[in-house]
Amino acid sequence: MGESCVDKCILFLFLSFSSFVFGLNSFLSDALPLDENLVENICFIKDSNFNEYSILEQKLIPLKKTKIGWENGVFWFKVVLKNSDSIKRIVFNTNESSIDFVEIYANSKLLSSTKNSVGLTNLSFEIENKTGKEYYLKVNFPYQVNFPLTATSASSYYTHIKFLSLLKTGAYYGFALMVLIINLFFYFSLEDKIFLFYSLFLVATNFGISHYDGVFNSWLTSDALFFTNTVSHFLIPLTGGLFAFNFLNLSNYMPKSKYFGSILLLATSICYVGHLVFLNYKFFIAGDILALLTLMYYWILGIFVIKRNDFAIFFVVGYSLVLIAAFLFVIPMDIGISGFSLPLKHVKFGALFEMLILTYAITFRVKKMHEENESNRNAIQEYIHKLNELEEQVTSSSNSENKSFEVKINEIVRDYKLTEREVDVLLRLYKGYTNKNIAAELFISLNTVKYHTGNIYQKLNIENKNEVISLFV
Amino acid sequence: MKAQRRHVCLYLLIISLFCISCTKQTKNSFAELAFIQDENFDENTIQKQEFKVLTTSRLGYKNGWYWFKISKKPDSIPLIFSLEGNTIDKIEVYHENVKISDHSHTIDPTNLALKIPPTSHNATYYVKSHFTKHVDFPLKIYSEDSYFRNKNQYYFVNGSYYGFVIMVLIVNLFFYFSLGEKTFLAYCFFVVFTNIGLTDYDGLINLWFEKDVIRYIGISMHFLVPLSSGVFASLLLDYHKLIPRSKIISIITIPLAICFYIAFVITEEFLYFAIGDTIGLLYFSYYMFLGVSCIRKQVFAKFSVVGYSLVFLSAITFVIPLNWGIQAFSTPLYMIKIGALFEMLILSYAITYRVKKIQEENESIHHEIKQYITKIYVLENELKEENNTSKNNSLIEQKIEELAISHNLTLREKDVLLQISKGLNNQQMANELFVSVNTIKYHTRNLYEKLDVKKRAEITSKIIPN
Repeated sequence: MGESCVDKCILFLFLSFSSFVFGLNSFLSDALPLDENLVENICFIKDSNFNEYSILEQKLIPLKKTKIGWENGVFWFKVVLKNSDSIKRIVFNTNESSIDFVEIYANSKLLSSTKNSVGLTNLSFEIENKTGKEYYLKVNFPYQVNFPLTATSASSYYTHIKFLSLLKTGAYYGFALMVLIINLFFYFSLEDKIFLFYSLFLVATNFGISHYDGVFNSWLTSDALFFTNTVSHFLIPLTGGLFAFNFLNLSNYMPKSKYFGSILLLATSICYVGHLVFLNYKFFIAGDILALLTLMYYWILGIFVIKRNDFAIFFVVGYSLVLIAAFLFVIPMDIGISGFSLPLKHVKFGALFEMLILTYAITFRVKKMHEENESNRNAIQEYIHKLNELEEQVTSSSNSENKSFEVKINEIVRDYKLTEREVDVLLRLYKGYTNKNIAAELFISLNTVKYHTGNIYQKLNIENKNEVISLFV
Repeated sequence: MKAQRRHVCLYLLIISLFCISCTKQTKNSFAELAFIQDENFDENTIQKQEFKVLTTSRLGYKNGWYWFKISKKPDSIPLIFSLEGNTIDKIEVYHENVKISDHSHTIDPTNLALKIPPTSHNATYYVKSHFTKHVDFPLKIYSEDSYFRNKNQYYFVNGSYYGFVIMVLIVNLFFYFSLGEKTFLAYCFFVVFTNIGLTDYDGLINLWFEKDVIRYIGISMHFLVPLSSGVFASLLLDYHKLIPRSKIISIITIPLAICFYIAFVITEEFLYFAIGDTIGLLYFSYYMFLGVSCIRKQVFAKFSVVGYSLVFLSAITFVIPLNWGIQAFSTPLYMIKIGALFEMLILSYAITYRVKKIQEENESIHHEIKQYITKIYVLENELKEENNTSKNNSLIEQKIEELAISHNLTLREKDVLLQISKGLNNQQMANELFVSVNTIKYHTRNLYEKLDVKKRAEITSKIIPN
């Protein structure tokens, strides 16, 4: 009892330490203090071949929420800043990584564009604040139209947003990397395919997440990104289904669940292929929804086998947060509802939670293994004990006169070198058969029986049938 | 055997690559640097002083105020003077007798990075800086763009490193909780202390703590790291049983190191700190040596020696030259982190290796148990059969009893029948029953009549069940 208390204290200390270091609060809330945001208001309009001059005459709609909807394409934004004369350099920062290109104009002059972005994971533009308060931004959205723009002074951008967000993003991926490595190690040492499937699922999920926070954006061209994004979205339900099916041992508990899962996966793949072929974003949305439904389906199956499979509880608890977060992140972003949407960091937080729970499941399994080891050791000792006892019994009883009939026969056969036929005859003599009876039963002539019995008497050194019986006593 | 040799070759290759990258010198080519220890100079008087040329950044353990003179070509764009290492707590930059920047204007949250405006003609700067720990002035000059690009990667990579560490920590804690072995806990403490120590060197600790607190955290980590590593190693390899002397050495060296660290806190002379660090590293090397000596006795000694070798090499070539101002080696900090990653990977592999061994043992025990069960089954069957034959005997008696009842046998006839079933002849029966052979003949004749048989063999066929 005392020891478990110490354990709990250590666990608590560790959790408080890690949440302190990790800064869970700052991990989940925006790093930029509100009063540092220089944006006064934003208006937008969908592009219809405007240029930097004609846009000045257009009437723009005020942007109240950051999400506009699923009508992907080029948009124009007019950004009005607060009084910011004292600030020399301003950074426009968008936390949305799917944006394809941005051009920033002031007084109909191009100030900056995508290729000048200073952000590693998302688009950020540093411009000199000489041109006034009004800026026009031309932005292409190949996916969801989501434009969470902030404008800050350059120094506060770097100290408040950039470095810390990179640190956290890095920490997340480092964490995921270690989980991956541990699972691969376990796969290689235990040769259990579940570890491999989990590793694949982990890679697919984090590959998908990396497209949202844009870690790969600086390494891949936008065409390649378009392709890899779709592929990663498809790989998540595929590897997830594979993992869930094996982890929950569904082939044992509900073998028919496979068919519905395959149908869902097939439909998902058709949607994504449709997106790649027809370049229509609606296919992508349908694919996303189907993919999420596939994952949901396996999660619900997990609930059904909770009583039959010790590990299903880990699966259900582990994936609960990330599944909810993924639903509330992907669907509102795809179709452009901003009422109940969650930001990406909640998905990441859910993923961290999931990784923790499943890693705990590994240690739980190892613990079971240890317990099995101990009980096995005990069992083997019991068996050895029992075996010794039995052996003693057997040897003591074989010393006594009660030898079994068969053993006796075998001994006689061995000692007196009887032929097979002679044994047959001997057995019948023992049973009190007459020579005639024996001849009838063995389908041989009476003379042959006599010949055999003669041999038997000679070999066993006896004179008549009655002595046969005494041999067996 | 062949695989083992291949592993040794691979390991030697890694070590040699690591050593090569450790000894790589980074030269400062963009500016000429010179230094002088401060003797109450100010920005005007300093210009008349004679400076010594600074060839590498390291000046050793004499901490305090220093002046540096930076001469470079004029530049048209603003520059960033970056100083990593987290040892400078105050800095002032002068240009043409005017203070242009100081430590409060750093643009980087973890390290010193001062923005210097462009100049057209005279690009000589005087920098007054105060070193709390080792005297190290690793000045790097960047343009703004390249600085931010560099730092972006720096933060991402460092974040990954620490995220990795946190996961290692969690895995080990989980194992501690499920298996209840203190080795895992000791390893956790070791990892925590080492990495807090590293955040002190790379400056990330500034994100979470105030300067005054950092000072004490940094110092305590320097003795907690060897302490926890000693505890971990002795739990893992059972040193205290194997080599009892090792306990005495821990008891002597750790408090000695602590004394030197306390002396540093009181006097602020970094010399004491450097001595403490050296003692800590000697202690670490002693444990490495112990590990090598029991490499044949213990599987886990092999893992820990291989795992720790890189950290050990990089820690020695990083800390000692930094503290004592030796210029031969200049291992960058990230080499320690690479070494630590390698160590964590190897030790995580050791965990899975151990689990694998448990599983194999379980399987072999299962196999053995199966064998035992079949043996037991065979023996039990044998025993049962024996019981059956003894039952047979009782069955014969029962049969005789039945015959006696159905054919009205006398007691004596029953006895004779029993003897016949045992296969005795008349003479033997007479001896057995203490009667004459004639009496036996009389009884048997009666028996033959009553049982309606003609020969002795037929009697046995009546009694013995088929």
